[in-house]
Amino acid sequence: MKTLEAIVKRFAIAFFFFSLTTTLVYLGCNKKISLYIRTFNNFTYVPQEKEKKPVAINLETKEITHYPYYGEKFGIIKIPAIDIQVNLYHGDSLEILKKGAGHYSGSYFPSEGGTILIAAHNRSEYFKYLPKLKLDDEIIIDTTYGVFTYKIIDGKVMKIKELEKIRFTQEKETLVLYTCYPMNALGFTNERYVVYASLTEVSYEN
Amino acid sequence: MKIKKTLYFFLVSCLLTVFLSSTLLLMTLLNSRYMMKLFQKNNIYEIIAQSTLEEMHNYIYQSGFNEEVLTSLFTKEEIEKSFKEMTKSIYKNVPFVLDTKVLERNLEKNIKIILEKNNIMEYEEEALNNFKKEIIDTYKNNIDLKSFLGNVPEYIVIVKNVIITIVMISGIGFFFIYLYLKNDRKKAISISLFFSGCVFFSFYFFIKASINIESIQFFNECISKLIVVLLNNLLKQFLGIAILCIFCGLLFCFEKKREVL
Repeated sequence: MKTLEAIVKRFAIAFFFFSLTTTLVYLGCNKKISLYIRTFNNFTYVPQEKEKKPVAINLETKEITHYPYYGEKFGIIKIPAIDIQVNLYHGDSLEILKKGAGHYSGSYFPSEGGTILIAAHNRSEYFKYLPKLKLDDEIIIDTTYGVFTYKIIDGKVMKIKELEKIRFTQEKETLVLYTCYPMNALGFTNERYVVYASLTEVSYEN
Repeated sequence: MKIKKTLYFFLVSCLLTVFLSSTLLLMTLLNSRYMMKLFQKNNIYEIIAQSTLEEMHNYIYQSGFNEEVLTSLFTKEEIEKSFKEMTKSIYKNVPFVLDTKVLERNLEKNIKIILEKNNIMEYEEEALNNFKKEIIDTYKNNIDLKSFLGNVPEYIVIVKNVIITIVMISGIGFFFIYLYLKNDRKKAISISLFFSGCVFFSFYFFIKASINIESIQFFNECISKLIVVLLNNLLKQFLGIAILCIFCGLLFCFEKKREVL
């Protein structure tokens, strides 16, 4: 009984000291502690529950209402002249490019009336045969919110540094596809084969 | 008199908590041998080897090479050796240079085999060199973590010295106040142990509740995994010490039965 009394008394004193210390720390360093916790949490990534909502567009304003998340597939690129169909993903990391074509996240989306930059590896199932395309050949981007048809206006070899200078403007909807060049080169070359195409037809799905 | 005694109890409690937490940090986070054992226990080296190889795989697709170019580029043991040397150099703040000669030699050998196998006579030297550089850089980025730390190794040495000083001061302070409290020594110790237990318990639960440790992503998978393992282990140690403190505090509450003559 006496021992129990001693335990309770001493624990109560210790808990009183603990409460006092916690209050002092809270009053003195609360902001700093919150800042450190927030900084730490900036480095955490919690995968968001992926909603099954497809990328959607407001048909009146022609504005995209639900953008794809990074790594999400939102369309298919079809090039009938070279008989290829490539899945189109938002983002252009190496992980994404392993699966198909990657849309550069700093460029515009089809329907936004701007420059759209898409890359893919120079494998036969992706963009290997881009150099075979001629003027007026069609490129169709079939997205979850509409079908966009483009016609080739130019195709050329460029250095990487030139490609990095492409301006993303909203003057006219232009599609830019590129891949590593030469096609059968081993290693990493400093050149890219680039194809420019302008929008000719749009069909929005309901 | 009572207030004075209470103040001494409070002081001795704080000193014990500071002493225990500083000693814990000194024996865990600031101890290179402990860290290396921790990495070994959590298969960090295997994770690094796998992650490095996976990243290298990403470069194959645009290189024109197949997976054979990555055959036997490095072993888990080589990574373990380099990582241990790097860890020691961080804690001792000495220069460290990652040895990539074996990797470069194996990569050259694999490329040569592929070129000969496919009868490729002409190729762009610069393109091949770019590819080799990317592979070697991937290896360096995953293992030579010291290059990302900047001045941290310097600070580790300073912090270690500061904490040793804190341990000594708090230990000596605790001892002298313990000597001063002649009749209340057991009481002081049990209160201090309960106090330390409460502090460590609350620290553990506060961190667990505030930070989503398992989801930490920092730079690459290897560094993220290291940080997660470190933090989880440190918190476990705090929890262990908290339980020990409470248990020892209970033990000090038992009084010897005095014989009534």
